[in-house]
Amino acid sequence: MLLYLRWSVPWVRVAVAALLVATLIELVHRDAWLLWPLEGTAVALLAGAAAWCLDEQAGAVVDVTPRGLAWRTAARAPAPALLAGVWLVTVWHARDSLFGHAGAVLVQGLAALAAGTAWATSRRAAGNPMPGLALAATVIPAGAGWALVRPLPDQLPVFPYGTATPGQWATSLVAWSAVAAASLVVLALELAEARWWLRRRRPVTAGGPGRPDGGTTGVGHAGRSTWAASRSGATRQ
Amino acid sequence: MTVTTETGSALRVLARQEIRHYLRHRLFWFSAVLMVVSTTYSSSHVEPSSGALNGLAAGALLGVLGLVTMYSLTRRSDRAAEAAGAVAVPERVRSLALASAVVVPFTLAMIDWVVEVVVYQTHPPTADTIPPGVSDAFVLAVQFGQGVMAAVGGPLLGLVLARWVPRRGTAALAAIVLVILTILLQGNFSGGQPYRVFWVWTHFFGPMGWNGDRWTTVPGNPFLWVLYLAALCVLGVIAAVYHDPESDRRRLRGVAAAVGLAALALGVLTLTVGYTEPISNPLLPSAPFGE
Repeated sequence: MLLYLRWSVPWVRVAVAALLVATLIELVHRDAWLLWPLEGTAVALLAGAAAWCLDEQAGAVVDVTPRGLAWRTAARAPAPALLAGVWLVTVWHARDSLFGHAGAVLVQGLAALAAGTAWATSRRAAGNPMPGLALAATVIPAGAGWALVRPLPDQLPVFPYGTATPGQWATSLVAWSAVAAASLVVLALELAEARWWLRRRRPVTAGGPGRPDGGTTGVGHAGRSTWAASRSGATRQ
Repeated sequence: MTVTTETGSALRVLARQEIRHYLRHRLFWFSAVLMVVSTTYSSSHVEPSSGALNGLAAGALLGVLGLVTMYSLTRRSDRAAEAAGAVAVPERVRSLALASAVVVPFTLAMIDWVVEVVVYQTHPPTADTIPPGVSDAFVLAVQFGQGVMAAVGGPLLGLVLARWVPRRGTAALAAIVLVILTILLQGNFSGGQPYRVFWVWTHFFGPMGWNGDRWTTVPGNPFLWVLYLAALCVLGVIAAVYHDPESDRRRLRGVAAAVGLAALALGVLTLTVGYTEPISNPLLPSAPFGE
């Protein structure tokens, strides 16, 4: 698993993302009133980077190996965990500059990490080998744009500012917590469903590579991914 | 039929196609929806400054997101060209077609700017905001530069990056760097950072923290700054076309040098013509900005 972790995760990109996140929060720490949009940018970067960690360039190859999606996702988990660690440390370091809402900011980042991981895993399970790149290219500029403009600050306090009311901070915290919870549920379902799907969709054929007890072989979720890839691939052509 | 006619015809066809692609891009739709929401909100909740700083919305949404949109469209065009095998259309023609797609964000930004002009004229700013002596044209020129020029410049920057740095993550990384530098070069630090006028997006007035949150002009001439940005946009198109090894690079180098010199001159003039020293409003704002 360590060997897989070493070679499968784009560590340079993870390091760049971690460094950028730390830089962004450090800048916010220096002048939160002026540089607050960088906080939202950092949150968006976390979502994109987490998803990017799960990209599998050789998805078509690894999908048919014995290692299933759950195993491969678990093997790559240290990368999002590293980003989470960087986020925890930097937010803790800047806690005095976060308008008294360091906890809410912390939840934003962790929820973004969970959402990015869940989305990428979901797309990987559906046969898309590199969903993270597309997500990062969309969510990072979109998050930065939202953080800069803050449209509808009263109705949609995604990244509340220092002038936001306690009610707006509370709304934001609840929304981000809901995103985190939903992401974890999706992640768990996707990883678990891979095996359930396999049991439902891959009947053991006579003379095939079935187990002695009548179950399926440990081909991971290859059947699902291949089926899904052919389905989605047809529409992408 | 001459080669020139064929190229022109291909350019027209490709330009129409790229405009359609831009219009259908999901990131453009995201930015367009946010633009409409933001403009509607700011028009119905007019701030004391009468939206003098609202150029930010178009700049961030159509500029920053436009960078990524155009990068994505350019890579898509390259992939299609690679898949086609024998290249029927030169890269420079595809670059020009992609550059012409900026008409989409330009149009949206123009509509937004016209709305801002109407709001500004119908709800004049309060006395504690725009410093005395600053004309309406000055304010509207700033809004034009921050909104319309950014909506054109962002996508063109995306085109240049896609041509010269076609690596994974370039667009996302560029968007972050763009945001960081822009925030640091708003003129919000002591003295108003006169050198900031060489950057692609900045403020020329606002409630400056280094001046006790009083509305203050910062050095620079927005009229010349708009021309400076236009010259940068032309340079961007030249840089994108220049990437094609079959283009007339010798001629392009000459044109680029001329436009570059013009841009430099305009940048220097932006610094030296107009308000070269900060002018602050003696009145303190009745409400902090952002509330």
